[in-house]
Amino acid sequence: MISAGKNHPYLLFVICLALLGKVAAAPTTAPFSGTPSALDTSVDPSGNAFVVALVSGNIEALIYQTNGTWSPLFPLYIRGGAEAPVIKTDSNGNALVLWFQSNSGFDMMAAYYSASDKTWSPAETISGSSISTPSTPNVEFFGNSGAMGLWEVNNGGTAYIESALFDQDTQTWGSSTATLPQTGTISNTHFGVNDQGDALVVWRLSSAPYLFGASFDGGSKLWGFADPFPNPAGDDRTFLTFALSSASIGVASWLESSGGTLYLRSTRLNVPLVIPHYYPSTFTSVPPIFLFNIEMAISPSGNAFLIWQENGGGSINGANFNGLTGQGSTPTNFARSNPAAPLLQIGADGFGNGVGIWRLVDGADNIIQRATYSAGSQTWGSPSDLYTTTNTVSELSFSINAVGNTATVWLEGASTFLLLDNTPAAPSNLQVAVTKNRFTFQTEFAHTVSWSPSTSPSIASYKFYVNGELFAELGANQLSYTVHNCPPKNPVTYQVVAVSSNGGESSAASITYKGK
Amino acid sequence: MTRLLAFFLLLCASSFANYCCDHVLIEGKLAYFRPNDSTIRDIYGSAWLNSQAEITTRVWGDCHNLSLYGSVNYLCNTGKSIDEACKTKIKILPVTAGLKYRACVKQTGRRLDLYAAGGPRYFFLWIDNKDPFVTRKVDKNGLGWVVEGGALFFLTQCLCVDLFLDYSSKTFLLSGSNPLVQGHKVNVGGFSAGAGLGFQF
Repeated sequence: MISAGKNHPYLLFVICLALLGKVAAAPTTAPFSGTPSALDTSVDPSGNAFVVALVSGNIEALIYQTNGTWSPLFPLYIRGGAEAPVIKTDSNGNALVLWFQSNSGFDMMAAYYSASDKTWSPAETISGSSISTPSTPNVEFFGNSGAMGLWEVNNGGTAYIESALFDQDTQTWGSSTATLPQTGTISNTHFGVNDQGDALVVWRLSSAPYLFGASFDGGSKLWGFADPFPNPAGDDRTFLTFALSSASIGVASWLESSGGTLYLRSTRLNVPLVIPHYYPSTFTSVPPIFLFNIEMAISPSGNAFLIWQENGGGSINGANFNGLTGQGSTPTNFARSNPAAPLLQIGADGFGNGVGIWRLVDGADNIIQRATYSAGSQTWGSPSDLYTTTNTVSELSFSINAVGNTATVWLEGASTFLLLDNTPAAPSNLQVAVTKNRFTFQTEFAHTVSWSPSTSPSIASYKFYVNGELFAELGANQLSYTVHNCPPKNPVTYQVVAVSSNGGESSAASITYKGK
Repeated sequence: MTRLLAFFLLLCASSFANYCCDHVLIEGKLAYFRPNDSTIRDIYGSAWLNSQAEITTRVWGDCHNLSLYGSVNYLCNTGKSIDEACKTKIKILPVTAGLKYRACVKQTGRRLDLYAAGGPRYFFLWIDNKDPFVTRKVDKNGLGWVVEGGALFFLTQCLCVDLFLDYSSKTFLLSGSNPLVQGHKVNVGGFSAGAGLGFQF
């Protein structure tokens, strides 16, 4: 008998390792009606993965549910002429999809998924024009109160930013607003919102040596003026990217050419937009000459995660920029030389962890790799291989939710694959310490089992097994457990399983005390 | 406990029988007690207070005499288990009935007697362990032995001071009460050194 406060059944030598083992996650094929392209994905807080794609000019949506099945196919738009859709989910599992169609006029369109009704609304036009060509749609939720759709419009030398607000209570879009007119061509538009309904947008203007930003006041529902940043003016600023944390800390990063050398720089931007507090942090100024494809995400506290390519696309690097302090970290080199475009993706969860994803071509293999930044250790881990194929991976999309579940979607030949990871990492470094509690006439033997926590950020609890039987369920912060009344001469096997907040269980970490 | 009462009744009857002989000594003693067993010392400490009441009645001789004596000791201590530091409390009640040989070594002035004694000692033991994972209440009793020696310094004809040493021994074994714990043999006796105040009449 082994007890922990009270007696429990104790079946000696009954070790059910197989029951605790977890089968490694395998990708699942997304059942689109044809060959998709322009994939985008978003994983909701429950771990459902939404996938939208362009299929023969139409927009289709699928949901891979936490029970491991695909929802029926939702044809969101079937008239043809659509372009790349984007999707975002909110904290309640509702979703918004935006896309542009040019089949009849030039319309920015949207569809809403209600998690409570489990239905998609019919596609609706949120902005229409016969002369303008909207592009690069973005959509972001303001907490649970609504959302903003935003896109750039370039119309023969005149450009502006257009946005529209979505009311989540009525599930209707307001009129779109064309604002921030510019002369030239707008590109690299990125925006973020906070829970107060404010927004901040940044863009690159072809006719100016600055980057530009503007903020939206959630109270007055008005956009401010376009402000250039940073000073001084640079030779050329490209690959602008931007992310805004829920704490309203914005970070913009870009490539800057100066004196023949490329610099990767980041700076903080505030909401409402003011002149940046910090002179841009410079991550790299020594040739490699070639820098490409910066992707960035930001933690709730304002720690920005960047990954980029260097040396003609060869190596993949990552770094952090702390939006609070304005300090950049030393870059980390993740991946070996690779001439192919790495299809970089990055995301951050609600705990301050970051995940970078990319495609690596190694001989005949296409390898999807992943590197994780741990908020606990404040370091990037070594990259791990998520998936390897001899087919060409031609598109890659990635999403991470607040609790750390990830959805990775890629196009491989004509097929779309999804890898949903709501399986937390197992705890590690199990150790057993034997305690002899000696009284006058009695010695009670206790085993204190300790472990290092799962590296996954969304751990809700740990399950503790003794000889294959569930013995206790422990809180996420409990990293040891003492089992009393252990027979000193008998072997005992202990196992610990990490359980994520949406119920996903890790493989079991195991240790056997051999007895004497 | 029944045996304890019977012993006292016997002792009291003997004392009253000798009352007329004016050779009954009643003492109260306090002593330092050091347990024999190192585990007991580790748990409860190595210095205990031993309280004792003793009655001695002469059965033979005058200056050099043989006496019957009986005593009751009381030892109580608290401690913490080794490793886990769980609270535990122990009470030991040794009851002794034995023979005492007493020799008068100085009769002029203030009288001085030396004595040696020994006999069976019956140990009553109670332990309360504050831990749910072991047998919490341990209640045992059994027969051991004791030897002692000392000196009586008479302050007056009736009042005396007793300086003494004794050594007792009794081993108990706890087994079978809880199969999940390991039982041990432990000697609950020990060494005492102390002083008492006696009244002889």
